[in-house]
Amino acid sequence: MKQYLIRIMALVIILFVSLLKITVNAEDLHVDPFLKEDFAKNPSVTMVSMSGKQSDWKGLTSYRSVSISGDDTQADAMARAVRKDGVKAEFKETTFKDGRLYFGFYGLGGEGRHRRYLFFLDMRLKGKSKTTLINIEADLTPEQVKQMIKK
Amino acid sequence: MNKEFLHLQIARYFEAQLSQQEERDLLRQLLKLEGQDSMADEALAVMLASRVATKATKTRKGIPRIRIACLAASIALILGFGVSLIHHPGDLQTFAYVSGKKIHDPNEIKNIIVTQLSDIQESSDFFSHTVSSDLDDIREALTIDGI
Repeated sequence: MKQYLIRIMALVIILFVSLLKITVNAEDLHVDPFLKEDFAKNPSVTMVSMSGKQSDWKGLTSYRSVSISGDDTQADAMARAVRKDGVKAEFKETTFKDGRLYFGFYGLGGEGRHRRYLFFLDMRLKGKSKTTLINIEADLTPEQVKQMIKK
Repeated sequence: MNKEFLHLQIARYFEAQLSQQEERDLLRQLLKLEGQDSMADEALAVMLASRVATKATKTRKGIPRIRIACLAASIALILGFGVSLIHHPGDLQTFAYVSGKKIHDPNEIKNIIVTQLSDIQESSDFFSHTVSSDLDDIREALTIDGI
């Protein structure tokens, strides 16, 4: 009976540590709610999610993008979330127009295949009704990510 | 069952000579005669006490089954967890939502990605000197057929 209990306890500890590791890796960001599938059910949203083999393009682990059109409230909220996460970014390249974030490229850290990058573009500041957020996970340096987009 | 036969059966019960069926019949009779015959009452008390003890023993014997079930569940959990770790990186999870509707059309998904990357490329300052004229590479690289 004791052996049985020890086995169960060992199992519980292993599962707990594994879950803890997963939780730590998936550190919550302010933009995360916008990248969830539930958010895509909003009619003003266009979302693409690619992970697994299909995303295995030039080192990408996953690609998820959200574009909001015709919903300024949500677009503003997303822009605010990006700016908040940008504060903690390891590096960032940003462009502001009239005091508002127009373009942002952020490196949010992570290891190996799970290095996380954000692209943000608010085209409303150029007269178009579209705000886009792209979340990329890849084992790439920021320069390599830029090159990947540029090509 | 007359009294004489009943007493005989009780005696046989105490000597453990009854079959299970006979024991059940006897118990039924004893329950009917409760309070009418001292020997029957004594036998009934012993039988009921014995049944309680047997039930407790069965419960203890049942533990190994639970152990086996728990062990099997543990193995299943470990295997499931392991399999999920192994398969997670290769999971095929590609989809898109347009106007609240989920789509799986590879061409449509490809077009959305190309448009978004094109927007980023054209709008950002550090890409401005290489404004997209060649998105063919992206199109080629994004071989989404088979989604």
